Amino acid sequence: MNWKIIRLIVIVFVSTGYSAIGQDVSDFLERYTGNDAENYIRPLADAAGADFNSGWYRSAKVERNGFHLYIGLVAQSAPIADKNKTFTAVTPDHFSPATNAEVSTVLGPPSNTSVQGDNGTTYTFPGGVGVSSLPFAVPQLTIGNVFGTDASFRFFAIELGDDIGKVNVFGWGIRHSISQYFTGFPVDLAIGYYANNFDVGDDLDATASLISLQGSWRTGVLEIYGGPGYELVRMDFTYTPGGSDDRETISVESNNTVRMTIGAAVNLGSFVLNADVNLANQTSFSAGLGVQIGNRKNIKSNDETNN
Amino acid sequence: MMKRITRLLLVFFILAFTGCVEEQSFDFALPVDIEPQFTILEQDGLWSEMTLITYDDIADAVDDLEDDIVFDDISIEGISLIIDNQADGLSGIQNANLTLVDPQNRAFPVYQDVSISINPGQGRTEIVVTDLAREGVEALKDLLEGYVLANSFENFTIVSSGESVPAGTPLSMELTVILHTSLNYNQNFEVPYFMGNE
Repeated sequence: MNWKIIRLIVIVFVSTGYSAIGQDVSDFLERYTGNDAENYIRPLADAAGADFNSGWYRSAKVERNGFHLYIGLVAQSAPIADKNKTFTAVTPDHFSPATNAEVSTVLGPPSNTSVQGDNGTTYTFPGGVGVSSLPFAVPQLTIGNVFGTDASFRFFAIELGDDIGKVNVFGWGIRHSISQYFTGFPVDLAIGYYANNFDVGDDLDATASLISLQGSWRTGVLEIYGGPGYELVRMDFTYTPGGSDDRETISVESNNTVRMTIGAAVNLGSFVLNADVNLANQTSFSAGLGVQIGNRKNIKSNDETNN
Repeated sequence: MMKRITRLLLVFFILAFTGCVEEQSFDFALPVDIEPQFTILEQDGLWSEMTLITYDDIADAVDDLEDDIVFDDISIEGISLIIDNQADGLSGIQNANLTLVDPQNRAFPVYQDVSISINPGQGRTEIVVTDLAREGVEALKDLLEGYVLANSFENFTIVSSGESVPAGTPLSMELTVILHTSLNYNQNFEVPYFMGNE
């Protein structure tokens, strides 16, 4: 057995800091009854989904036609709010008396919570991984443009051995320029749809999708961008309960639905550096560094020509 | 050129993410269910059966613990009973007792005088025993902690007794007693610095 849940989070999201630990994900999920297992995991869905849906764009300008390519690395981080570190759980049926307790979520404090029962019995809820934020980084490629449309892709895969399996991250998105249909419009506008799939072996399957309305305004090398978005995140944990041969799945949907992105990018020749904040129920930050070629690169020279 | 820049960017971010680590303590609660079974075949409806609890009952869980853990304690959470009944006339059991007999031959009641209704023809009945006896719970906790701490590996005995309802109904059942426990411990791990600080 391995304590997969922490390894899933930490190995996939950051590093290999944790080594094998003698607990399986089922050991955690079985500590909760009813919806409590979902409540234990939901902050992970919120934070991971906020990461996945961040950093997709750094400008709303999409030229009508002409080759454009962006390759970069996008880093995201979702700070874990106090409200997502604990929740109220109830003790299972075999414990008497039934007791509510404020306990740690999967991302909450790494300390157990014990509840005293009748005649010397005690029930102990497990702690979380004790993180203050959930970071993530992924390479991204954006290519266009055809009739004011470009497409973005994110991908990486890594094999983490028999205990965990293969980690696959694949994201794609497509967006279309709205401002191309208006002449003299003061800002660039686009609408985009993005989807991420995130699989870890046979245990974790997450999907995140985002519809975003994007706007940007550029002066010199600086570009201000942002806009509202609507997102959906679903995470399925599949595990084998103790004493059973059948696999069970717990599905968790994120509390995040609406977000507002505000960011800025600096275009230095072929290089683009950007950072943004995504305000939502689970806030996230994103920063990217990349290179681009094609007609986006030419914008600066066009600006200079106009001046 | 672009390939090289991309590689440099990847290396930079990986180093930034993994370079700074700190040691952090994590608490764990490893659930362990011990499930002694009693096969009860009594024509007069009265039973008293015993079974041994040995280190092997929790060996798998203890063996999975790593050497550098700090053991905290064992939680005795509760007891569930599963009755697989094969006798048609049985409508319940009464005066059911569970007694722990330690290696020094001292007896500690775990539960006493429990009554359970069984629907006619119902093969499987599961119930939770809510009224446990403190002395039995504490004796069980001490013996299991001895196993985990490697202070004692002596076997101890669990005795189940009771009678059928209606009285005298022949018994043909499998009784499983589930002792719900958890091993509580903590362990230190290196984590990326900016993720910790809880």
